Amino acid sequence: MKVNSSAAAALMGRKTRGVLPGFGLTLGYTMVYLSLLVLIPISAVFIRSSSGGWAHFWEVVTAPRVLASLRLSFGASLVAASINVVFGLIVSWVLVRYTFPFKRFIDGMVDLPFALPTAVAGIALTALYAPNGWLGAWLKPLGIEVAFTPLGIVVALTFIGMPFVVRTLQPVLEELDREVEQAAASLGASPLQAFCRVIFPALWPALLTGFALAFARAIGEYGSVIFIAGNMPMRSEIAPLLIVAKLEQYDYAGATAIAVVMLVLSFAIMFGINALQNWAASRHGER
Amino acid sequence: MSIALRGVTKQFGQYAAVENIDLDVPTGALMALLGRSGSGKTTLLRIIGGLETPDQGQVLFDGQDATLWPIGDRKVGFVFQQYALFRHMTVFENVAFGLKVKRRGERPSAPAIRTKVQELLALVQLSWAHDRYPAQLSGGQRQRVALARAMAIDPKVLLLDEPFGALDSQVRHELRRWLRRLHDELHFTSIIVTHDQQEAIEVADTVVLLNQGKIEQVGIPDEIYDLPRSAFVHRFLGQVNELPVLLRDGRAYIGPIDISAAAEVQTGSARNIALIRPHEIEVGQASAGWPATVLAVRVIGPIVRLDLCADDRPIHEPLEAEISRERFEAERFTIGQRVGMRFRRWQVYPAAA
Repeated sequence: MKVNSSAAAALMGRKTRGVLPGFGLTLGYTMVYLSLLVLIPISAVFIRSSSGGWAHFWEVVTAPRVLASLRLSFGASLVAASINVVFGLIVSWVLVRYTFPFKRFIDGMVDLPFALPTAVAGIALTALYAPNGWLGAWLKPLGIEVAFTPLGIVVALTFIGMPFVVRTLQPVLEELDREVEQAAASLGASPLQAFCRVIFPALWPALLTGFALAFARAIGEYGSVIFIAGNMPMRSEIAPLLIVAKLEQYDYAGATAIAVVMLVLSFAIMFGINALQNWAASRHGER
Repeated sequence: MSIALRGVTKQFGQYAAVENIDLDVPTGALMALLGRSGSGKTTLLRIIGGLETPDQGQVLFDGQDATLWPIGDRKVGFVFQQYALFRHMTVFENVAFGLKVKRRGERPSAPAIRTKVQELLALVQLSWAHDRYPAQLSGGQRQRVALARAMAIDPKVLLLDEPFGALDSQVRHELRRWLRRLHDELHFTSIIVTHDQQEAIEVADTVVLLNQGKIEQVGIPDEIYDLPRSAFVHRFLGQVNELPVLLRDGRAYIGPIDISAAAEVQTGSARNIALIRPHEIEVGQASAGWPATVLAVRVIGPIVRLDLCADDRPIHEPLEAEISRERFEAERFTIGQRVGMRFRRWQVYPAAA
């Protein structure tokens, strides 16, 4: 019987060796690191939230003020991430496809929301959009109020989420094969058809990732929002602020209860997005 | 459809990609644009296809000025070196694309599209792969899909940009022959860009050799191979040995061989070189011809290649000779053996070219 060498090696239980050793060490390190930084804190949240009992948990979580804040947090994050998908696509398209003066400078500006302390961003946006601010003064006669309303929250969350979409899209756009577009054009596709049928399908996994990152960032955002939101209960109060408020009243069980709900919801959404991406990838047979 | 180029020029910055090109491609021709990378062959193809606009000159389709026609209106099937398939679509959807994007009035019905795509897939022998994605196919199969996709819009012209460049030599050979058969059956005008002289000679009716944005020579494959108009063409179309032509007492010599009788050389002060292909060198007994030493012997299937160091020539510039396997079996040349060379054929060019 003839057995090829790799099959023979597998039969004898021999491992294939990579060039760099150390699988055991790096895996061990990864596990410890993730446990210390992620798993243990998160399980602590779960344990802490159950300390008040199930009835208390339910009572906290279903309080109208909490529900309103959760709705606002997730709703505003969703809107902000969606806005970022549209305009982030345009920004990254311009940055990849065209050359123009100060391109590098503008490219660098995309990272500002990453680098700026969020409180600074919050104060700046508030000053700008307050009824007596530069932009707010113009918007007020039109009946549009931004500062101290949910709209203000969306503005702040859009600001901090923008780089996530742009930076995930850019490398994908750069790698996009121009010849594919030219092929579409030579087959008679209009520019719109070429975009919708050829370019967009290639981009949407990256768009989805950018959306997920911007969304996740927006849900957790605190610093920039609290300045512009005005924090009126039931109207412009985000869930992370409510957690802080509960902590300040030494209501740890209440604070962690809200945290658990946010955690579970976020996780479910991220899981959904991931599943969508896997499905898309497997459809094209490129796994 | 016939294509004509009139004075086509295209510059990229300071660099002239193609310069003042005049070319006629008759209806039903299969023409090869041959040249090194940077010779302008791909730019020329892209100008014909409408992917580039020439700075000067005209592109005529059936005598009509098509220079500024948008690419979608040209009825041109374009095949790219890297296939440029739509990765998120199945093979079927790829081929159907050109039909599905047609305007409502011109678009065939869904069953008509289905029939047409199935016909095309049968033509490229990929019916079994209709629901596969491009990533699941081999390079040769992908290129056949790309060809079927290009033919779906009933192009009057098929433009192929190094279509087989990314494939291994066996597949390349098969696809060339297949393309040639396809062309003979369907009679559309085709232009193929290649850097491979073998490919150009094998597949095309007419070969256009480009160098630095200009046409060096146009001709049928035999003619361009046998009667190269310049040393560049001669060198490009295959292996050559280069030897200086020496002038002594009004007679011309390659080594000790007197070539004055061929009367191709104007005796003057200009330096000339002779180009000789490996199979044009005859190798025989040391007593006759230009004495030489065998440096290496390589048997390559039906032919045998010999490296020969001619007397009076530097050892690091051996000549390459090709003889048939039969002749080799009869003579049994060995390394170090003394032999005599004669030249069956040669061409003389000014040395500067």
